[in-house]
Amino acid sequence: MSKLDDPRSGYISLRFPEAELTVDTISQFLGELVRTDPRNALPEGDNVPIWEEPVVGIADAADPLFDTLREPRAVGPYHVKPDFWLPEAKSVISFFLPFSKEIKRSYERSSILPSLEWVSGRLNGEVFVNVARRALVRLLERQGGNAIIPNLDLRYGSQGFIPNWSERHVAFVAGVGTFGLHAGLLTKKGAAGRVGSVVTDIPLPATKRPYTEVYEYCLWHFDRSCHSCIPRCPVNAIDENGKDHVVCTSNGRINIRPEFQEWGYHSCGHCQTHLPCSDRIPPKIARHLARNAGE
Amino acid sequence: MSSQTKSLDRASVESAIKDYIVQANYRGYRPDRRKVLSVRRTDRTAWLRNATTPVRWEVYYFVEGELFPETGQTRLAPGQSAGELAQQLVDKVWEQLWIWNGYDFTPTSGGLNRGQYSDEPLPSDTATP
Repeated sequence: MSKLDDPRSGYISLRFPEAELTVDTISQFLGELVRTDPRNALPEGDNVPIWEEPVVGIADAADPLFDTLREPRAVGPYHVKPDFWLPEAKSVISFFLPFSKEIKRSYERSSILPSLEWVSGRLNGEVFVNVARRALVRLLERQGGNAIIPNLDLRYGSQGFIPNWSERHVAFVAGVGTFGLHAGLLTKKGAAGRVGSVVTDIPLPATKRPYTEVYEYCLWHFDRSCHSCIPRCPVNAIDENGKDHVVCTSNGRINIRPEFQEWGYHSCGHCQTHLPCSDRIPPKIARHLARNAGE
Repeated sequence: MSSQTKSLDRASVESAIKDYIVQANYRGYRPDRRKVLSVRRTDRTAWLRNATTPVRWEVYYFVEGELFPETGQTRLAPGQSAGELAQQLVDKVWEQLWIWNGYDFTPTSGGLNRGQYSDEPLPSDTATP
């Protein structure tokens, strides 16, 4: 066989079989991408994988929660709805990519600084999140639809820390996960990861949200039995009221950037690592949810 | 970066795609699924490479499927030169590729092609490090 004809090589949309689009087939598609695309690797050291297989959810573009996101108690009026990006929007696909075991293991519990693998994974991993967003667009186009990536669009913007398209909030609407005290997204694969989304005019079956409350997967909000992310933050950006984003980002600028100057990285990850919610829904809450589901 | 905005270099993109078309149309039409357009951060110029584990400060786009999603887009028509087809193809995807690449090299949510990498000197008007 010629090297040119190797079916295992090449872009995902050229080798993934045609299938009806559901949350399961889209999960399989992104899982295949994560497992086989050579770009899912750190450029340094042993080139360990950055991401593991994602958690995927689909929201109806007409879900009333997109109106709720425009309220001041949520994101605010600057946030836009799916039809801003695509007038005929029918669905929004959201995905959470969890960091690989190798990257999470590299993060020392007692260190005030993140590991090189983490800071590299955060920046280079975001490039791969873009790869995944684009791959979804190609998948949807192959089915005859149109798709837009809000975060890779000239109209994407922010006012301070408020974006006009919040990946975390969209993930909540799509059933991917809830929020935590540390303001991160908590999913069935934990909190250590990144989020992406695509808006399409293809009507897809929406995911039934397995939660009803904004902070349902967070132990602090469940029964106040955990506040591990508060003392873990090296710059005290988190308290019982949530996270101060100004203080949080100052850590990257003042403390981490100089340490990793020659590498060119600067991101912290203390509030995503070595916590009961880092790798899973905290067991106490998972048991509670399972009991309720069984009733 | 804030003192000097960089963006994708079009001449090198066209040159790399032309080179790909020449190769894919040698002895019949044999598109090469392995080939990626590689762009480096320093000057945003592009080359053709085989897909592989990334190196620092380069990003890759698969030519077949990712840049040009339709089968056969890179096939030369009778009498058509590789340069002509490269120019046509890049015309079609340029705006999108320019945006993709800008965001791939945007280190924060500061905006497209803005933001500063940790290994770059701070602009002189920055009050705090």
